[in-house]
Amino acid sequence: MNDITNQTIEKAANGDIDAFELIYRKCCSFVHNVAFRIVTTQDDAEEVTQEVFISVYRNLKNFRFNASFKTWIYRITINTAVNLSKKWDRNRRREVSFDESEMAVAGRSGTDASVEKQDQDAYIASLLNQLNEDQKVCLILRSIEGLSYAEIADVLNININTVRTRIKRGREKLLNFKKEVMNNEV
Amino acid sequence: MKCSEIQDLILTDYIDGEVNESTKRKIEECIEGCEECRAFFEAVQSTGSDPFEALERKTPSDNVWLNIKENITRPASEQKVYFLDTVKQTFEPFINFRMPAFVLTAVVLLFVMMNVFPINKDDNQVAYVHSEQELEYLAFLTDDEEEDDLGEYVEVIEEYFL
Ligand SMILES: [Zn+2]
Repeated sequence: MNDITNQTIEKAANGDIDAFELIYRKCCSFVHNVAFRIVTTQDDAEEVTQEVFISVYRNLKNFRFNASFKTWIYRITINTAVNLSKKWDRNRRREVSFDESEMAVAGRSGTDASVEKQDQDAYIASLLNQLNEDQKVCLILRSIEGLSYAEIADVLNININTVRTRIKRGREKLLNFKKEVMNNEV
Repeated sequence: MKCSEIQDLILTDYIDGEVNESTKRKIEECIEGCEECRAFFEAVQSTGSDPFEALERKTPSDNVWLNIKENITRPASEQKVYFLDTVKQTFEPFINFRMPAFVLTAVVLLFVMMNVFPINKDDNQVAYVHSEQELEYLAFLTDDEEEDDLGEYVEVIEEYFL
């Protein structure tokens, strides 16, 4: 990530596709990974990733070099993923019940390893589902992406104490959720 | 430090490695010495941090880059067509006929209406404003909506470019 030079960014901003591909190769993994945890499917995450890089390309001329490039891309990723996720939720509300029953059936097939991965993804999604949008985004950036509180504050353009509060409230919800699940199992 | 303060830190800064050495030592003393804080720490670890660690990283398939490249290298003239397509796709579910036909019909209808019912200032007042209260209510509705939309828009732009 650090080897994206200002020169590369300038070249890409002036329409050099090879320079832009270099930026894509360095950043697509974290963009896609964050998008996946917000929108929860591979197809949707790919659509978000596509939108993000088209946005990045069109707005490269607006990037200010005193800001961190990675922070800027994280910000565009969060905005795009959250906005598209809301839009899709509205459009797909009717399909949900069908999809859920289908997923429960589909979960039984496949190799052990792929089922395990699906289970893990479904488990993470069920945890993140307990949180509101703000808490979810903060916990993804902290616990999955490993950003510091200061970096998260920069990406979301909020106060560091707001980051701390969102993470605290989010984890409290997770603790309560776990308690509820355990009580139901007993 | 009180146990409640320790636990607040365990839930946030301690788990996330944001505390300095001396605070870290105080918290760890409490985790070792105090039953309640230890149980709390273990609960936070098992639900709040462990599940998210060492998750498999997701990567996009190869055609994502190809789609992006295709999109950004498309000539400007085709991009306009693409934009019109998007508009059409957005409105097609609501309107059964084709966009140009719809726009043309709308314009012609408007023209005919304006000629058949010429706007007269006095009529206007009688027709649209039944009472001052109603007017205020209408003004309130429009104000509210406009402010909301604008606010959201400005916020999005700011978030992108600040
Ligand atoms: Zn204690």
